[in-house]
Amino acid sequence: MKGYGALAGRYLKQQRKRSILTVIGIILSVALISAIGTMGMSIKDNLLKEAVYNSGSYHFAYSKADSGLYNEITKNVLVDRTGVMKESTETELRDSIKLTLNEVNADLFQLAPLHLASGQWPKSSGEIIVEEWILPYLPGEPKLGGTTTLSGPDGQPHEYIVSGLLINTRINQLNLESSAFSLNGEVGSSSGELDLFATLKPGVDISDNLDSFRELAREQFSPNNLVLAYMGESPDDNFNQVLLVIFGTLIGLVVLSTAAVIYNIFHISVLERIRQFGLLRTLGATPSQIRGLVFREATTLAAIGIPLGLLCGWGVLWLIITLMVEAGFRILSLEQFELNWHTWIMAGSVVIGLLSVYLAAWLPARKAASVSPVEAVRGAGSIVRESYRRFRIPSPLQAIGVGGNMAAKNIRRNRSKFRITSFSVIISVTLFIVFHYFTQEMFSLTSGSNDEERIAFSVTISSQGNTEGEKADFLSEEQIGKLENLPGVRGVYGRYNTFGTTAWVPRKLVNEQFLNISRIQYTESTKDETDYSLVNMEMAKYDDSRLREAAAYLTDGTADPEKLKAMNGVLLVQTVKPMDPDTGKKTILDMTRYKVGDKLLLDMSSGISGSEGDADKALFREVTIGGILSQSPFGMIYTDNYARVMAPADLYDDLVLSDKAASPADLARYGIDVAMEDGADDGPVREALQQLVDSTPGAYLVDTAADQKEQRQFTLQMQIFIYGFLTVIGLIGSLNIINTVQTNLLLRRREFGLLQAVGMTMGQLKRMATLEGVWFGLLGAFWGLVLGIGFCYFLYLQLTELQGMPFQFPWDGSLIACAAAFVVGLFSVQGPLRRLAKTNLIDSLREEN
Amino acid sequence: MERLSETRRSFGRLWRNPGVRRFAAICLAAAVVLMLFAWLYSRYESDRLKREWLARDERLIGSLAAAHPELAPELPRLFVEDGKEDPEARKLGQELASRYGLDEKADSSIFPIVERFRSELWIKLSAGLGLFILLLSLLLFRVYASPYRHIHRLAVSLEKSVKQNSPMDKPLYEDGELGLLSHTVQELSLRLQETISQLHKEKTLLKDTVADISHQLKTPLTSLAIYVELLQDPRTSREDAREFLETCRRELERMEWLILTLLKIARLEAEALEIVPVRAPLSDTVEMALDPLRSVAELRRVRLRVETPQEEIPLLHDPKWLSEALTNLVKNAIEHSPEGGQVTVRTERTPMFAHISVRDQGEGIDEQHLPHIFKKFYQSSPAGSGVGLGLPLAKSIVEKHDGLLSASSRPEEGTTFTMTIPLHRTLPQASSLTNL
Amino acid sequence: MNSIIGVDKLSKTYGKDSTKVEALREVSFDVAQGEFVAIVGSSGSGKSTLLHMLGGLDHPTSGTVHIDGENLYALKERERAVFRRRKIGFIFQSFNLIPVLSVEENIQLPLLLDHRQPDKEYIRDLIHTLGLDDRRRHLPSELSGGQQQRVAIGRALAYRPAIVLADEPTGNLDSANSREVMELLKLAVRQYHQTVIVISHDMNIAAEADRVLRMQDGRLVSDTRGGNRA
Repeated sequence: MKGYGALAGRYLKQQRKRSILTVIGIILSVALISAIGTMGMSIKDNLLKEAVYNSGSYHFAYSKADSGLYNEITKNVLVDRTGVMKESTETELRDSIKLTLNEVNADLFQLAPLHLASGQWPKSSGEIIVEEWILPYLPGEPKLGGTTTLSGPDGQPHEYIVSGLLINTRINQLNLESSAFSLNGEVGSSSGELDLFATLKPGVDISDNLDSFRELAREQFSPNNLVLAYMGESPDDNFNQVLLVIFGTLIGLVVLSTAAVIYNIFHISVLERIRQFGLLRTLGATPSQIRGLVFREATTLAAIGIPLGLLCGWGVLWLIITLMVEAGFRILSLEQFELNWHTWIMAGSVVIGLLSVYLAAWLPARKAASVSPVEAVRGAGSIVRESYRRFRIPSPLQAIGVGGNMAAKNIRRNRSKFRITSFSVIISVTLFIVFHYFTQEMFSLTSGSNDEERIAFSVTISSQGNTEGEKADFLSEEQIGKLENLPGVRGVYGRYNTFGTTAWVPRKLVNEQFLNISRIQYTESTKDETDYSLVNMEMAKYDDSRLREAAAYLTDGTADPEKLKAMNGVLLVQTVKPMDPDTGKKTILDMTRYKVGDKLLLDMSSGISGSEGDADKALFREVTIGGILSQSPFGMIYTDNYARVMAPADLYDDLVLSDKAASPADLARYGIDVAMEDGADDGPVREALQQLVDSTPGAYLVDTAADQKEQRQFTLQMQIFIYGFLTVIGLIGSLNIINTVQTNLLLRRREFGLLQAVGMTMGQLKRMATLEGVWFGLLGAFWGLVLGIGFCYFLYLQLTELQGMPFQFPWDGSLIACAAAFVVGLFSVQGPLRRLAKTNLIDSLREEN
Repeated sequence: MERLSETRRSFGRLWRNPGVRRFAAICLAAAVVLMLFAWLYSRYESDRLKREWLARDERLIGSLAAAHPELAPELPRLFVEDGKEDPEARKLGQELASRYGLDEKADSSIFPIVERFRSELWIKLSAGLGLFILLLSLLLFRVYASPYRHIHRLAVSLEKSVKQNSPMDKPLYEDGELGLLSHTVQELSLRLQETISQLHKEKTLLKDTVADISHQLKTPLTSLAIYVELLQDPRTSREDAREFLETCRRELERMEWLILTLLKIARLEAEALEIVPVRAPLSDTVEMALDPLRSVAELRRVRLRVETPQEEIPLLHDPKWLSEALTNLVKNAIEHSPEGGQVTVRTERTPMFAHISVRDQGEGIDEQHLPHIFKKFYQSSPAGSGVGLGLPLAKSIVEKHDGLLSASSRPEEGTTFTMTIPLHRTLPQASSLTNL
Repeated sequence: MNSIIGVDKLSKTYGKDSTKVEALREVSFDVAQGEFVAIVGSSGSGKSTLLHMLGGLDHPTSGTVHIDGENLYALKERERAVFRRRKIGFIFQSFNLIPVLSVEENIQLPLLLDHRQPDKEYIRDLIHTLGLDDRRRHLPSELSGGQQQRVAIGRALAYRPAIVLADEPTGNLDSANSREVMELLKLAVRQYHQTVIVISHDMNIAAEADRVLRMQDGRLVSDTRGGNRA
């Protein structure tokens, strides 16, 4: 032994089990930190990429600008690149599809949300790019690289080479219009209305300088809000601050839990050896030498634990995500899935890990060094003097026989150890609840998704195909059935017209907060002694396949077609997202307060023959609310300010036809939406649909498969991140609990041996330990719930600054966390108990700590 | 004895010195402060530079724009450009500029910003750094000087200790080289003291021995002189003369034994006589000790009983001397035993020691005598035939074997003398303080 | 012979008010260098407390302890620890050794705390003398009680502190081992001129000492020399 410092290593080697448990604790904590860091960054990167994909990479833009403004911008020393777009002539193609030519400069292609499907960006003024679906409609029906003739900027026909094809967008296909882009380097100096998009030089602080750019053209200025927000440069200071507070809280929670976990084990370990430290003091070790010993132990453990922790954190994340991808989240390809390695996160985790270890070791080190040598040497184990003063609340455990009695006494005696152990349970539960809540809320805040994003193709038939009065559904049930059976097809849904109706909502059921935010004033009317507000609603016709998908969004009630039919029921989406016109802040809330089973009073006289609030002229129909949806399964997730009713097909027809003036033709299915499964090959489906379209006059295919894949990709990645992340937290939390319980039991071998020697049977002992475990679990779950929900509420207050929303009590997270903590606690007691049962009684008694 | 590990220089050892630690702390703090200062200063300077540079740019832009309004919008960006992108432009500018005397060789004084920067920078930096280093030196000086103060104290204390032969006062109780030095020096002074007192003791011993010899010899010499005178007297009868001669002979024997024993003890104590330890079975030595006494025992009708364990006890000892010691003890025991009594010699072995005990069944030794029985010439009872040197000699011999001789006795129950000798080597470097 | 230990009006009180315990009441005595002293008394008489005070383990309520001319409690905690390291050796009734260190390492421990490298020869000799050659690398858990005490004494001898304080060193031992321990201590006194103070409730042990201090109710009630042994 080269020096007394080797004592530290000896202790670690001697108490192998405890050292390993401590190292495991460190590994878990560091893994958690690095996992959270990596996850957080990956999620942010993902969101940023999605925002850039959808909105473009520019920092701010001006609409309706002129060349003067262009000059000012490009000459500005802070500006890096400027993209210019000028809308030019419109060419009408066959089937009345409108193609607008846009002149742009080269920079625009990088800054605007344009995505090449194939080919290249135009290199000269004689080249253009168009959306893929336009290609067959161009004069000359060129392929990629071919030529076509369009009206040029001067109004004269020009020949253009198609150098590249853009990914199809859905809106354009539905609205039968599109844009073509040609290159014109001088477009910025030309006359006419220009759209400008600019980025600032790297290194320039964006948020600070936006205001000066805003001053240049106040009315036309618009920053790329979403992208800037994810870059952390939002012009809204409040937003940045809120983000900071949120992440600060989360990271603070994690750091605290890390230090607590390590402190727990370390503290116990040092306490158990206090006699030896006392002996060292009698031999003449100075307090700082003892402190040094403890810190040396800590350093060794940290040196082992931290690198392993980093590896584990990264590795486990990677593993779980790979598993998820294999198991069900079939996304396009794993390369596109980016789990980035951020050096600074790893460095930060190392620093935090080290800080936590030393923080955790500091108190025990001080304690070990300051113990009076006499106390330590004299004490035959520490006999805690019980305070007789305080009135002791009888523990319910005492009711459960000897085992319970002993358990209660144990807990009271080892109060600090017990508190430390249950603390780790509490931490795990709290962390899980908070992160579960946070990720769910954040997901709905940022992306949110519904089934609309699975729809890859739509087929519509133009109105010319139908004769008046005939109720002819596009496609027979049989044809639809065949389509549904194609491989890769998730569902085929009918497209129908919607019906704008006025609902007579009892005034007390209308949410005042909604009225305040949206500034809407509804017409009032009275009928049968009740005050009503006349609220406009949009009614949609849902066939069975749509109802099937709607079931996933139910908060209450049913979407089963049979049941709805029986009760004359409809589905209602009353959650809306109005924007306050003054602050620009959006809030999610319910505009009306309907419950399942309530009756909805509709005035079916709409449009031209509207009743204008006169009860006598109204065409009342009453339906029952059979189910309430949290958001709309198709179309816009939330609308600004109107509720939506989804009626089953037959009911819809019946309701609409209440107005004799309505035409049955309006009820007919005029098209289908086809949704694809993730990762499925859309080729065969496209072919089948194309055949269908070709064989049906007036039918028209909207192909957004490529775009849909991209969008879906973002959503899936997000979900994978979030669930993977929660799994990791759950895993780590569980392991933590197991670790702590094991440590606790391990340290009490002697005590158990003693109890056995005194006469307790193995069964009673097991019962006692199990009851203690249960008590840990319960108490941990309780306090974890309280703390977790408290933190959730705090986070909610921050989040609601960004976008108003109601506080949703974290039922799911709480339930999972508590149940898991309980079960894990219970089972983690069994293993050590079994081992305890096998050990020799004498050995346990003799064991010197 | 432990050794200070000599040559290997280790950082850990250095670090243990409080002075070194303080030094390091001050240096670290100084480094941090310096870095902070440097950062602040460079920020201040770069801000100033930015302002002056901007002023210059604005002036240039203004004059250029006035002269060539068509260039005006391009100018700001031009002035901010990095310049890496256009080496052509740079070359053009260089040619143009150098034609009019503006190149690298030009005096710095014609660049106002550079000139201001240079002069101010020089002054401020040297002043700041100079002050800083001055303060730092003051701090470091104190840290550096502190060990010297301690050393001075040590020197003073050591001098006092040497001159006054007193233990060193106020040693340093701390880790680090000074603490070790202080401790070792203190040990040195203690050693010195002990050596001096040991020397005193030996001197006293010598004095005592001489005094003892002269005292003890005085009586027999006087009586011898009387007897010789009587023998010389013609009046003495032949029978008386024979008696007197016999007495003389006995006295001479006694004197011889006395002188021999005293000298033996003296030489033992002065370490003039060597103990030559060999590993030999103890039972042999016991036998060697008992042989000369068997006849005496028989004469007094005292039974000699030897109890030895089954296994041999290989003891590292000098059999000649140890048997002599044992002989003395047994002789004593025999002389104090009643007729028909038993003297038991028992050897036993424990992990660390060999025990040899001699038990008699005599009348025991009174409690008040017990502490003194190992003193020279002490006679607890007149029954002894010896001079009172047997026990002290035995004790000396045993102690030279690094052992203990103890006696316990109860009146009427007999006395037991026990020699306890370490089995293995002599306790390391224990014997003499004058041995280093 | 100068007195190496000087205790002056030493008092120690534990607790407050109703739970007040006066463990030591104005105890005063001196011990000369090289004396073998036994402190006896029934349990609760304060003898252990006195020993702890002598070793600088606990602060007295009043009074002073001078060891080797140094006022023990005027030193700082750190200095006291170093003082203890170099000048005082402790032997307890049980639990003397660090469980994770071998016999050899336990003996070297005070040296290592002082950052010195022990002379390997010397240590080996010492272990040999103690009769623990074949147990050199064993852990304390593998030794008998007597062997453990021998190691503890070895530790005290290795560094040759001026004072050895032993609290019931033979309490847990059988008579043969007890004898060994006492003889070893006596040898230490004689050969190294160490001063040994032993606490015991066993009168036989006390009888081995040169001087016996008797404690009762925290007070020193008698101070005798001799006994029925020489």
